[in-house]
Amino acid sequence: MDKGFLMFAYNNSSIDYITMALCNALLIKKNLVNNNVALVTNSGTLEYLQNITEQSIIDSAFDMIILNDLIESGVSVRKYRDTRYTDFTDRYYNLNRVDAYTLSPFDQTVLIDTDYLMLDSSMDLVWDCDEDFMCNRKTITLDHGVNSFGFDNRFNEMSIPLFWATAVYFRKTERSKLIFELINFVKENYEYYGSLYSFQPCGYFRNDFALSIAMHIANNMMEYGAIKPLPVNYILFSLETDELHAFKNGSVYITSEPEAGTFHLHRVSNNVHIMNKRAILRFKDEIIAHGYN
Amino acid sequence: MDERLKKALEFSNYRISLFQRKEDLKLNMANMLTHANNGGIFKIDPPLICFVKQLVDAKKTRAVLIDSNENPIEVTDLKEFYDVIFNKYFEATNIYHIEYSKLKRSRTVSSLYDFIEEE
Repeated sequence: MDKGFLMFAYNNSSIDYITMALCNALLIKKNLVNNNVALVTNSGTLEYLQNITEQSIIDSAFDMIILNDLIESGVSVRKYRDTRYTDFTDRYYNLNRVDAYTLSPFDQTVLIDTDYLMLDSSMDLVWDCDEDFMCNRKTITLDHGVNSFGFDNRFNEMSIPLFWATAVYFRKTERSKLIFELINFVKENYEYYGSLYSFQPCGYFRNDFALSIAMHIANNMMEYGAIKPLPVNYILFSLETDELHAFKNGSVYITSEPEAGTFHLHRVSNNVHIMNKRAILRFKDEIIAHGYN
Repeated sequence: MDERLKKALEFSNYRISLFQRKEDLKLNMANMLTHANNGGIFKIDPPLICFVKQLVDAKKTRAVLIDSNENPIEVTDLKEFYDVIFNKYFEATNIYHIEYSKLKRSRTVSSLYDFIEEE
């Protein structure tokens, strides 16, 4: 297996990340030709999945499961939203995603969030590219707002561009290794870099921020020409305030609510980052049925 | 129909939904018009198709083309490359046309989304 997808999934008491990973892995199997999937998780989370899901489904979704137990120190609590009307806080286990380079069993890896649903085949174009590290800066919301996060997707109006760790392609090269080592270094000195790059601390470690800073450093503090985008050069986002209404024939039906009481319905058939994780999990049975059959 | 979906459909504004669907179709077409070859990523458009056709007509079998990331990519079989991008272009634009025609005929939010109610 020289090419494949890598996901990290660690359940907390509120979000079943591993079932989300299972859903996404089955979508990858369904929609993509190069569809190897490796999952990084811990024994407790895996045991939970095995208790609620048939082993045959798990086996068809994941080609490899890598157990990597968490170090609890430094784990933060974050706020999650489930539409505009519900929020909750829980522990957020995202600290070992920076070790993707060493954990990945593949020569070429697409590292994706479990909630970045692979609904189309465009990621098949990513393999064997000349570039050894690719990720996207551009974002599009379901309401077609472009780069609408903060200051044109920057930390602030004077700062560096923000790249998204939602989907990252890397080949095992010296350059990719260097970027991941830098990401680790930024993580270890997160408070200092927060001050240096003047980003708003959100109370927990942001892989996107560490990735952006690492790429800035790796590019000799230059902005342009740093990192090339993925073949589809944007991340389509559904916000945490959106609600998923249906999953049918490989498409998701989502209502966004840009202002309270104003609803826009969307049918999405392209890869989409659905930030309302509970909304995905409400349709786990439909997604699994679609992907497994 | 799910009660939440029914409410959402009732609230959705037809014009906004129409705009959203058109933008969705454009994004979908742009994705379909992305092509990978020999390590390069190409956005298929009429100038690329015409240029490659010129090269094929001039009996060139291989050439260096500049891809979307501005990398020089050697295309080793121009005829095959031309056939693929030509077909992909028409497939993508035909799907765009079919879906766009459906949108033009749609007069309600639910029909914009091809939402078929289950019995």
